[in-house]
Amino acid sequence: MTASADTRAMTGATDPCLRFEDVVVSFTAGAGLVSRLRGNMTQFNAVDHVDLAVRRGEILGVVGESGSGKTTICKAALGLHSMAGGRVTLDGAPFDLSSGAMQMVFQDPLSSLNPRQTVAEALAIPLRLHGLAGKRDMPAAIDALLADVGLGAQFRNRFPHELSGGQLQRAAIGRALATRPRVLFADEAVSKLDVSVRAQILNLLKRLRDTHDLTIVFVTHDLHVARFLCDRIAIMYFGKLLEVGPTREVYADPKHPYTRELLGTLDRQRDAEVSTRDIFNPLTDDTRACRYLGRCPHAMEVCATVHPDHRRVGREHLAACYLYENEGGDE
Amino acid sequence: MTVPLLEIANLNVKFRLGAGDLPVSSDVSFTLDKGRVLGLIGESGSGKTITSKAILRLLPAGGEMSADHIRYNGRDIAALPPREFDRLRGADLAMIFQDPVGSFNPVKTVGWHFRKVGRLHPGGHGGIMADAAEALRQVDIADPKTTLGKYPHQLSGGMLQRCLIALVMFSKPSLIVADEPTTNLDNLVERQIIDLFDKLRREVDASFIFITHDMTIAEQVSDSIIVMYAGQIVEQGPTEALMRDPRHPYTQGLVKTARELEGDVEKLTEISGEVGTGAWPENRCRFAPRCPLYDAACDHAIALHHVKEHGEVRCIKANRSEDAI
Repeated sequence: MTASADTRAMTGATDPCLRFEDVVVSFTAGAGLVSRLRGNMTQFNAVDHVDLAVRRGEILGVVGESGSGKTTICKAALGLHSMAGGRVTLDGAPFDLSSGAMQMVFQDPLSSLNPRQTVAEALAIPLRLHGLAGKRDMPAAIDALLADVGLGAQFRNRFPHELSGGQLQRAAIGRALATRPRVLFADEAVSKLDVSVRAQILNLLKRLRDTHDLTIVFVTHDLHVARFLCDRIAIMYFGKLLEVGPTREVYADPKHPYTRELLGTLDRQRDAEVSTRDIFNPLTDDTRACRYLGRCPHAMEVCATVHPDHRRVGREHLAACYLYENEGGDE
Repeated sequence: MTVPLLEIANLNVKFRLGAGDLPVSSDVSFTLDKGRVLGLIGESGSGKTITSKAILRLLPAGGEMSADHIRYNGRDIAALPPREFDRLRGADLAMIFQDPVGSFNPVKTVGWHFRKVGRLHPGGHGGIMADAAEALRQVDIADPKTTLGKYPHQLSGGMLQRCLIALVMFSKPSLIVADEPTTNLDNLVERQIIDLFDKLRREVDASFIFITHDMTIAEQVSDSIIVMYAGQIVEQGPTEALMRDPRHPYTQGLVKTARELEGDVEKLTEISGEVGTGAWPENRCRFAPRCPLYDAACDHAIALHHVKEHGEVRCIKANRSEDAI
């Protein structure tokens, strides 16, 4: 299946900067010797035919539970996972890994920095490799990066273990900015931080978007954080993109039943009711059917046949659900 | 007057290091009534986990605890001999850790863990398994029989956390310390676990100490809240009063950020700086380096003072005329 011009236009944005076209990333379960001999090796798609366009200068939130493929799709864009199908383009061209135009910040800053390198050394490597600073202007370039992320020059010669959680994450963001990327992926970049520090880093990301002309793809499972930071929200569930739209619209009027269930957790007045319905199992369940079938209160016959494609439910709001028909479907 | 389930007076924890003692929690006092939930809030290094572990005598090597008293149902358990305390912990006092995977033996089935906990069960093997299945059903596990035969790695994080809660509830403890029990879980599972605690509290009248760094969660689950900072209680009071009118500048910052994240703002209010570690100066408020209200008057050890219809606050700037008793 290839993305039709139709779906591409729909998931697209006015000025797409980063585009995922029909992206598939598949993993193999039971790749061990015994499973192979028994022949019960199974493949499943951690990211399953996803079309998504990210606009220049926006912060796009990719929201989903563990196993939804939200991290995998970002890593695939950066070449950290190979894609089984589809392509990712940046400004219309296939992404060149060596350009440094896309960078990633991870959840745990301590493990993403080399414990034996000072902050200055960590920042100098990308600057040197990309020819962005020579020996003479290196100290100034490092200081400028530190200033960008709100760290003083006194942090230059500190080692990672000498920094607090917030300072470490600032250093990691600074290193990602060294190559002057156009797109920054942030994978749960504030989840491990203390609450009082979280606000600092969230404000920092918002500021950097403006000062550095950045496009940010922010992966999170925190619905409050996503609402604060993101212009648009993409909801993923077991490898499928279920809904995408402007943050305000999605939060005020979620369309997909899964999004409704997920955002329902924010509602304190909600009656205590525990869902015990079946969760999709990618290894045993029919992968052609809608992923949300087993839990969906609106399941219909058609849902069991083929996973729905995206329908337009608002001007910039799409949902992959048979409950909706295309609105103003002249595209 | 009924006796509170738990009364703690002046609990101190310190670690012995080569260079001297490192105090990690100072003069913690509180009471918890039966069937109530106490939310214990703070960031890493604030002493919230270590305080709870000290109560259950689960301090890591090098940790030392002292207290004026720790009364459980009116009886001082601070000086209880280890053997007697062991009998209390596990049967009456229980702890749920953040990471369910680490709480299970990876090479044993879920059922094995229930047999271990229930070895004194009067019904023998059959009775234990029947009750274990019922316990799993209580935590909304759809197919308890199959689940009992599974190994920890065969279950998802949410399932495993629910199994752990069922296991802990199996011995019908009256006090459960839950340390960030939902932090690693997805939103929907988190909601399920919180609903589950609520159900258990109503049905078996258990009391909880719910440790979290998330103000929003604490507000949802607890009757009263203790906020810890740098090893000290900086504010405590009934949840409603504390969330509506936080007095300590640190609590104010936390509540403000939580409210902003629930609402719609362009920029979040920041608490500047970060919590320090190590030894804090004796002659200054520990929050001083980050406090917007700090001045020379804060340069001495600050005591908790009582605020009418609110609780206790460790800040000299939080006094208001209407608080005078």
